[in-house]
Amino acid sequence: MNKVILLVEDNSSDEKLTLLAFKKCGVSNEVVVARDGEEALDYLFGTGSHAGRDTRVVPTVVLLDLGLPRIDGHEVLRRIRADARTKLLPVVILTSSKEDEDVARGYALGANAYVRKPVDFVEFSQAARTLGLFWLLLNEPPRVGRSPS
Amino acid sequence: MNHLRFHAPLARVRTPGGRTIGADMDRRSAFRNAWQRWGVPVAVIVAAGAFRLWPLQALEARLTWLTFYPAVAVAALYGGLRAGLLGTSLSCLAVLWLLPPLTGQPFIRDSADWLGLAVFAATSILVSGIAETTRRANARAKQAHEETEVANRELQAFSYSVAHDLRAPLRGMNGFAQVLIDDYGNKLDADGQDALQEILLNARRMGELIDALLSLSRVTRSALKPESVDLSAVVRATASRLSTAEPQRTVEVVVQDHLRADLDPVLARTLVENVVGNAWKFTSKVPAARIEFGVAEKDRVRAFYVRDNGAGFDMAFANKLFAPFQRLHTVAEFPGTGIGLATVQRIVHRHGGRMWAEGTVDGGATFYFAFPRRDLGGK
Repeated sequence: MNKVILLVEDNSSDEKLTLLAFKKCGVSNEVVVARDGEEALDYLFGTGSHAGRDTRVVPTVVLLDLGLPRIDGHEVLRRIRADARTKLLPVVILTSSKEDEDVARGYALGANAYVRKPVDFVEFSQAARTLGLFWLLLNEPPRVGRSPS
Repeated sequence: MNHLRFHAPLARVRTPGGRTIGADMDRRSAFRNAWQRWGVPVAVIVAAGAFRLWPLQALEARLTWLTFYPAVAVAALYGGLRAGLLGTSLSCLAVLWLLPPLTGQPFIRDSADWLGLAVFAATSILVSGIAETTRRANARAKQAHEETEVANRELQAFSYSVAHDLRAPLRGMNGFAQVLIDDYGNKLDADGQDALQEILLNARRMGELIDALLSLSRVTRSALKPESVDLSAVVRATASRLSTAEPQRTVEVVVQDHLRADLDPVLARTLVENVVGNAWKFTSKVPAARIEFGVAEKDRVRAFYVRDNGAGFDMAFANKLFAPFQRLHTVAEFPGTGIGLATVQRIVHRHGGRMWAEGTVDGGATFYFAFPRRDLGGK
């Protein structure tokens, strides 16, 4: 089964850079991009613009930016954790901020990891590579959204 | 991340007059004002009069004003000048015309009694005046405090958006320049590659500046939690960290033992790291580098000092040392953002202390920082 990554990112440059970084380090998995919090939730729950999507296909990991238009990252995370279908979904906060309050709040809301996007692209690629390696290869994801057969 | 994230400043908005906007708030504060201006004076004077009737009528015509003095003082404290004057008038009215028919005895009979009334009136007006001044000063202080709170909150929101929104475009510039170098570098000649490297270098430097600026603003924002900190130990730890990072350097570090100060431990570490790091950096070009930490009597103040025998500085520029982004050397000579000493000075100021520096070009520099007396001393 192909592992899908959900990237929630509103900045198109950051989106391109993240995809480039994944490509450079050989992460060839499908990356679904949601450009705001609402779209991310629509994708996960098969509503709105993603109505009718097979929600049994659950991303292996969600890379979540915090500063998003309309529904911000913290709220997206809260709703992910509040829903039984996505309660256990691995969520990595990937953001510019390293303010203590943001980090603390992210973990309090149930984030699995918190990564600060470095300004330097070499470091950024490194971070993307490590993230891909860990969450796609090493980590054993919970069986979420799939009914036990 | 193209939107700014300013947190809503304050739910309540104050007009210059100090009145709170909002219909409900308005009604409540109008009622409170009326009560303080009219209700309290009337109530306390009625109480004073009643008290004077019973049980104090046993005094007959002696000490006529006994209960009215404190009553006027209370009215003035609550309602200011106008309430005090109202209380004074009501008291005179009561003594002259209201109490005599109730007690069957006049209180003002001769010139001595009139003198008593005059003294009462003069004292009451004076007390009311003083109460009014105090009330105004308090109101001003309260308003200033609220304005500072709002300004601080706005600064916090501003720093937050700087952290987020300024870094994102920078990452874009740096990232795509790196992509050009990696993937299209072979199509560029040496000048073209050099230009791209310059873009990378500048983006990285701006990233450092943003981080430094944020740490400077964090020093201002965080709450102080002072405790006794062993500065000597912090200096030693910092020096050993620096020498681990640059093992090729030999620096003689001389530390006076057990020097303590009541400081916020996190800020104390930032302070020492910056001052010692500064000395470490500016001794990088002298053969026998030496850094000293101790305490000295300076202008009759006991001050901590960090002394080095490095590049030093011209005393003519001493006032520029602590200003943010001011540098007395080029980045090529000595790297840095020009934020370190500004951060240090802010930390010292936040603890009520003072910071200054002495130095000569190529003769080393000494940085002094002194805190209020009780915080100093050995163990």
